[in-house]
Amino acid sequence: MRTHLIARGTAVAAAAAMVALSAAPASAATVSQASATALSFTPAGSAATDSGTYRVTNDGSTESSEGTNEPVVNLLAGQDAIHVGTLAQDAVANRNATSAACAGVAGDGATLVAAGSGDCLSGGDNIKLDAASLDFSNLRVIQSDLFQGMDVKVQEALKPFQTQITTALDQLLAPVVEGLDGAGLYVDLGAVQSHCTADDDTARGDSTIASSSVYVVLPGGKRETIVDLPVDPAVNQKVVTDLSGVVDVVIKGLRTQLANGLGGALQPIDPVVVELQKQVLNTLLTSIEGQLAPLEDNLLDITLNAQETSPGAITVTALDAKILPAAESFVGGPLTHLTIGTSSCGPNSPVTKTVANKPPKAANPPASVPTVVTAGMESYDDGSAGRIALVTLLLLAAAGAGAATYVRMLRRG
Amino acid sequence: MAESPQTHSPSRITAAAGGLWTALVVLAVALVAAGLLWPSGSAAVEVPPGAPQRLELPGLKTKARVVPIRLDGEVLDPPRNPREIGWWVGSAKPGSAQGQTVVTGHTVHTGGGSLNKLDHIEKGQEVDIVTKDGTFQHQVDSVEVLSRKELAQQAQRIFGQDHGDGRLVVITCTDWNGSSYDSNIVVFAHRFNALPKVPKS
Repeated sequence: MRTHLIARGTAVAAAAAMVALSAAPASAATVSQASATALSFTPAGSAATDSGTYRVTNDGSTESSEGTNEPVVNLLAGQDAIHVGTLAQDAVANRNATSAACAGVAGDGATLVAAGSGDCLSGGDNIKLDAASLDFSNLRVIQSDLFQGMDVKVQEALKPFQTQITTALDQLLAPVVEGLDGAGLYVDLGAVQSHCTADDDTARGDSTIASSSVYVVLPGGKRETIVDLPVDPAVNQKVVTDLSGVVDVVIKGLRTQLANGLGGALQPIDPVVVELQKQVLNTLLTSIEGQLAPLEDNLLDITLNAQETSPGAITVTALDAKILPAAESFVGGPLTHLTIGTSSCGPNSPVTKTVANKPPKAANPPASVPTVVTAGMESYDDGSAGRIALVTLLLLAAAGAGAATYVRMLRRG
Repeated sequence: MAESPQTHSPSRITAAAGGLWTALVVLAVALVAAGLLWPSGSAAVEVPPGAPQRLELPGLKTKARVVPIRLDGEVLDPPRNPREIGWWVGSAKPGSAQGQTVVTGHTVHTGGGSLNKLDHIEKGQEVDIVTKDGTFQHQVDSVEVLSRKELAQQAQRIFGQDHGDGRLVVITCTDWNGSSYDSNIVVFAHRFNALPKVPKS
């Protein structure tokens, strides 16, 4: 009996020890967490690099952190996109199951603000970011395009000289395209940042973008603004970078320079008469415009205030931009993908969570602004023509009546 | 022969004239300086933001009555009377510190539209908006001709109210293709002065 009691006691003690051991990790569970990454980019032909991530967790008694919350632009090695500016990434995780984070980039002179009070950065100059260089060296004279639309007889007559004409035009195009070297895509950034907060139930976040724009600088220094980024972007707001203005400038330049050089280039080819030169130039420009179409449609895939949510957690990225595959043939380094200001908050408790983001703004804010202005008319009739016609009729009627009376009186007399 | 002392010393009248002349010169200089430094009375009077009543383009010899208009979906349609200008009520009132004031008027192919001459406007020219309290004077910063597609794509930049610092946006149609207009002409102007309305005596 005694042995039995001892055995039972030992079993209970062992079971209690097992329970205690299994319970121990639970008491060290994460009560709150948050992280922040100021900047991440993928240089052309290289692996992604970033400012590092500052991550904090709280186990209910102590806050632990990893990474740095004082990143420095100078330490962003292996990139030529950004040289000056102020990076910010900060996060806090509290014992009461709340957390906050903020991350972003601003120019020199910006003031850093600790996480938890919204934005991380205040003021500062704008930063010029070299996003990409535009490369037009892939533009070609396509022989099959060149003679399209011409009279069949003319095509037959030119057939023996097609290669000769194409070569001559190729030689003419090469220096013109070379002259476009140096065109670049730039991003002018004010303070671009995101922030988030989470408690034991909900998570929310937002982004702000101060006076930022994307623009192209063409050879000769002409600046073409592609898009002004909205200050208070909607959730997951897409931005279209329409380069049709740039394409127009390029085509206009090509037209002038090719028109000047065309006579000389085609002079040795006897059958190419002057009238045909203009036709060749037009088809050549149409072909080149077709080759530039991907640029005209869109160049960058930009998402502002990108938000990913799960129960009790949120990740907000202020700006996510990547070169679209269709435009890659026109775009060189230094960047192919850029993200600025990524803040993550939560989940902060083991209980079931619900997501309650800031009420999403309209997915398409243009709904609140006009997109069409119908301010043209062919003609306008304000009724004056009708009035004039009526008066004319009355005058005619009166004159007729007067004349009739006059004739009648003459007859009586 | 010795001269009398009276012929060498200035007479009292001459001295008084000299003193008066000096005093006048000093007073004149002081008045000029005060005029330059002292703030004028009119600058201290502010014109409050208000609904526009009239648009004036002195360089184009154009004046038109302004009436409020609303959006129809995403379409901004000027007033039916082509001699009038429409002020989009969703945009800032003239004189506002934020947002931008958007006005639009018709271009009529056969003539008579309130903004028929807008395609002749140039950078630096003046555009005035008259409200019940005064006149806001603007200067043209830029003139853009945008296709319908470009206008739609850049709608936030052109019409958005989260930027602009109270600038004026004037818009009408251009590029008549024989049956309709292909483009819009958009004029951006910044405010440089506000003249309070002079009360009738």
